[in-house]
Amino acid sequence: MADASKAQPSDRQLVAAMAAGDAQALHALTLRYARMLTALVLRFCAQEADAEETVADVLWQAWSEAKSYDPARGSVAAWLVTLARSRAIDRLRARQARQPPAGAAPPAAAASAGDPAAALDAAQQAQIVRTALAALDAGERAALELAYFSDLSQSQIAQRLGIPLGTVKTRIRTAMIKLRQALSGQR
Amino acid sequence: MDHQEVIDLLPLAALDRLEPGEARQLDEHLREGCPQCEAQLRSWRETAAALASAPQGAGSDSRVWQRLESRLHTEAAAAHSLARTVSRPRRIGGERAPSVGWWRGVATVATAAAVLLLIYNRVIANRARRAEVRQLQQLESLSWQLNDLRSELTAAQTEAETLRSVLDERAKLDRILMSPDLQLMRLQALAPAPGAGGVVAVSRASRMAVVQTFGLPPAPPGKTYQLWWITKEGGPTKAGLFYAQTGRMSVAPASMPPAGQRVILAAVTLEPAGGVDKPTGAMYLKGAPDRE
Repeated sequence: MADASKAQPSDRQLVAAMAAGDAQALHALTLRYARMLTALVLRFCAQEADAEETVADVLWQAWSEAKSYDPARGSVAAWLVTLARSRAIDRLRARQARQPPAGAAPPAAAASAGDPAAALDAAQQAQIVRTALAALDAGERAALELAYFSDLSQSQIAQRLGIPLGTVKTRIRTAMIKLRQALSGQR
Repeated sequence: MDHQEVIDLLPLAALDRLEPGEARQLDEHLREGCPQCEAQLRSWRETAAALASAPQGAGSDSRVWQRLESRLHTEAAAAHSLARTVSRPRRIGGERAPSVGWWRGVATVATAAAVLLLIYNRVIANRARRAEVRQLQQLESLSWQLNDLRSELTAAQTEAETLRSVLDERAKLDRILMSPDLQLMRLQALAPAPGAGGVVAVSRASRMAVVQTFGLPPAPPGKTYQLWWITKEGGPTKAGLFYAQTGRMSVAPASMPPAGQRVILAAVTLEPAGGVDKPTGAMYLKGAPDRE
């Protein structure tokens, strides 16, 4: 996801350094991904402190399992995002089991330090994705956002949007195809 | 499931949003070995991961780093403490400290034990976490089942209440039919429901009236059937509302005909829900009193 500048180590290089016990590499990876992952987790969990703790858990897991990271299975960004989303959904389920769901609190902006090249790259990436999402048909966007930013099954999405299950599948698939086209066209 | 159908599942699989049956079929397909689908799934996962960058600015990387730094310090302190414990020679009861070789042996054993303990703790923690997730999923599933059962119970209670009401009205009809002053009106079908029919029974002495119908189609949403008395003196007077169910006899109470007026006809029309004061809708049934 985030291509490093010439002076900056790549994500894979950082993970390789983490596998060798280099805490500075963990620091660099944190500066590169913590805010994006926190924003993602906040879509599932209302409290910023909980979200940051979840992201710390994710990065700690990456630190602990850096040796077993296999680049052939996907990018570092996809690995971290998958871990974060999975942990966020686990936390959401745990919270729903204890209490009724609460509305998500608006996220607070916070200053970010370090790695300006990666920050710029992440901002460009985010803009591309937001533009691609905005260009989707409203129905497709709603289905895709519920599929990614919630813990609803296809059937529950169909119920929530009041559309047949087959339409949900079609809308999500079409939205993903359009998103991929947008990403490959602008990268 | 043919290959194209499997390929169609991949974008949803990348979002972890396959239904259980679809996930099973995809797993089987990948287990059988399909490099093309594996590569495509990896590519779709990258697309899905890009979605994570869409939510706007939140959190603080420095606070996340503080949490990580604290964990790194705790880990380092634990390792340092372990190293000091196993490497510091001590004099016990004025005896000479054991030799360096002896301490090395102890250190090796202690380190191995600590590593084993660490691995064991991690395995136990992972198992506990997995068990917790499984339990939460089971809880969620049970919660859905409970909701379904509650809905079924509510539906069954409603059905039971309807049947009880029908039985009450049937009992009332039986009592009217046995009254010496029974007045009966047989309702004949009209054009909107050619197969329908019914009867209206009235006993002025016991002040009871009941309408029983069959073959009427269920009233559309926002509509209801309304019974009317049509008297020689006062024209149509409303006599009660009722609903019809497909394939079922409908029995409902009716109000008494106006006192001092002679009913020449009973009629059933389809009216807006809640009923109206004068008939406005299509007439479905009508019948005159039997000759006494």
